[in-house]
Amino acid sequence: MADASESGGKTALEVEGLTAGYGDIEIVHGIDLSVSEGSLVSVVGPNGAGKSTLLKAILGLVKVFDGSIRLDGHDVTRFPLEQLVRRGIGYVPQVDDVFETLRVHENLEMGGYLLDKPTRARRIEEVLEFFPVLAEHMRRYVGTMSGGERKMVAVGRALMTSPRVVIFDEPTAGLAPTLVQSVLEDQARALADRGKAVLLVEQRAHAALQLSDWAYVLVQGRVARSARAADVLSDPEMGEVFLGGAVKS
Amino acid sequence: MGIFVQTLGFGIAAGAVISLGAVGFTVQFGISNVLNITYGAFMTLAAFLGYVLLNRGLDVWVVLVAVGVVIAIASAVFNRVFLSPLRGRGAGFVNLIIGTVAAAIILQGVIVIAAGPSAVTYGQQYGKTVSGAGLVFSLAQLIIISITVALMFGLHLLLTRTKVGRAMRATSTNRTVARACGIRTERIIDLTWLLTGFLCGAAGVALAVTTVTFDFSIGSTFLIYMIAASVLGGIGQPYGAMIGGLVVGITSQLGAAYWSPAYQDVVAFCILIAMLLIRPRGLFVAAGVNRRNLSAT
Repeated sequence: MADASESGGKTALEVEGLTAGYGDIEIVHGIDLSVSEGSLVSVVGPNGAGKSTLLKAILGLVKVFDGSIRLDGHDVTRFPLEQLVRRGIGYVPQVDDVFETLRVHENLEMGGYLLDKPTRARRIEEVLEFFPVLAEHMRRYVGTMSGGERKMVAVGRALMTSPRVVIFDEPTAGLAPTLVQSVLEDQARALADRGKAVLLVEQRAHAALQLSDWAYVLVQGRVARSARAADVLSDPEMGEVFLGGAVKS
Repeated sequence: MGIFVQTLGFGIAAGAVISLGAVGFTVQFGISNVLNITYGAFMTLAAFLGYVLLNRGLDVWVVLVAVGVVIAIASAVFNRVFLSPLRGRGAGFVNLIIGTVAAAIILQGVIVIAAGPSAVTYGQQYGKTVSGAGLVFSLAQLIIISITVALMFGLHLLLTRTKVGRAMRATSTNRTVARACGIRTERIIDLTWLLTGFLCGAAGVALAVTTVTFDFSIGSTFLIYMIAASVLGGIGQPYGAMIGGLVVGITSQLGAAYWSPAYQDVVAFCILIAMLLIRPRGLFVAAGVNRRNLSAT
């Protein structure tokens, strides 16, 4: 049987039998998932399927009842977010994803909080190479920027530690429809093409699957299908049954 | 004019104490998102601890520092032992306020049991009188103003020039994103409670020094001045609270001089209500910024 590791290089993030939730309530059950270097893996599914809970469990933000999470082969189950960042994970939260009352350069500097000054300066240059448009806005307060620009700052901030794994939580949420494709293509896909292992949780399944290498379809907290994104996209059953037609749209 | 200038002096001295307390109160709120009503009771505790140490023959300024350290530790423990577990169990913003109100009442009750309900005094700690340009200050008032200015300047340097200060600002603005930057936000919050606890303790002793007599209600009464100063400056804004403290101190003293000392508290309440009605975000928060955070700009 095919698995996600086919879609890229070395496995960077591996989740096995993960059961997690809030308080005593289990939301996701026995999830297996892997993301390889240089690949974009999407988690899609209907509202309430447990996509964000899965992601938060990986990031140490909700309770893990069972299962394991491995980063580059090392067990990081139940590690708090700040420790995962120190070990090579970059996280871009859903909407509240920047320090909105700080300037762009301050956001990037905070992203490089763990780095020494010369490394931080070098990483800022790298981020500006990836997002040249930010160079013109370094002194601007992020709270005054458009949704698309803010998202660049959020991703730039996450890239400051040069993470091997980048995790996006619904990056297109709250964005104008015209920006959806550019955020997914110029950010998530582009990072995978640069060798990062990218895990994307996305409500806009069709747009995400078009750009992804592999997909996990989550339904009621369980993996209903794990397959090449193109196969999921072309499967009418997936669209009708699991995504309410989203795949076909 | 003579009364006005003299009252201005009293107002600056009172404002320095309010600023000292209000900055701690507002920074604590800005970073940990807890409107800590127990802050007033901790100030009362500080005043009484100071009273005990003074009676053992210690110098009042040594007492101020020593009590500051004790209240710093007590505040950090209070957050760890009481508020953090409450948050962990899903207590919301209002639940936490109610929790701090309950804790304040308990702490105040314990102080009454330990020290009694009667008023006490630090005695004459004022020192010689210094005057200039019509303003008259006691030496103690000048020392308190100097301590306030020094602590505020130190806080400014901490927030703007140090890595830990930047982490405090980041934690205040967005805790999840701060964690995603690798910042250990729990440690930053512990540090915040230590720092603001110190300001609370120092303000409690400073308040007792500038008050003729005080009892178990000193902190809870003073809390309204600190809240008014914080709201005036924009909740969560340390520089706003500094200026707000001065404004509240001066206006309440002017109210007392020109109206009646009995209406001192009324002036503070009027400022609070007027600010909430006219400019709820405070004087020092830019339009469009709808959250309290520790701004250093």
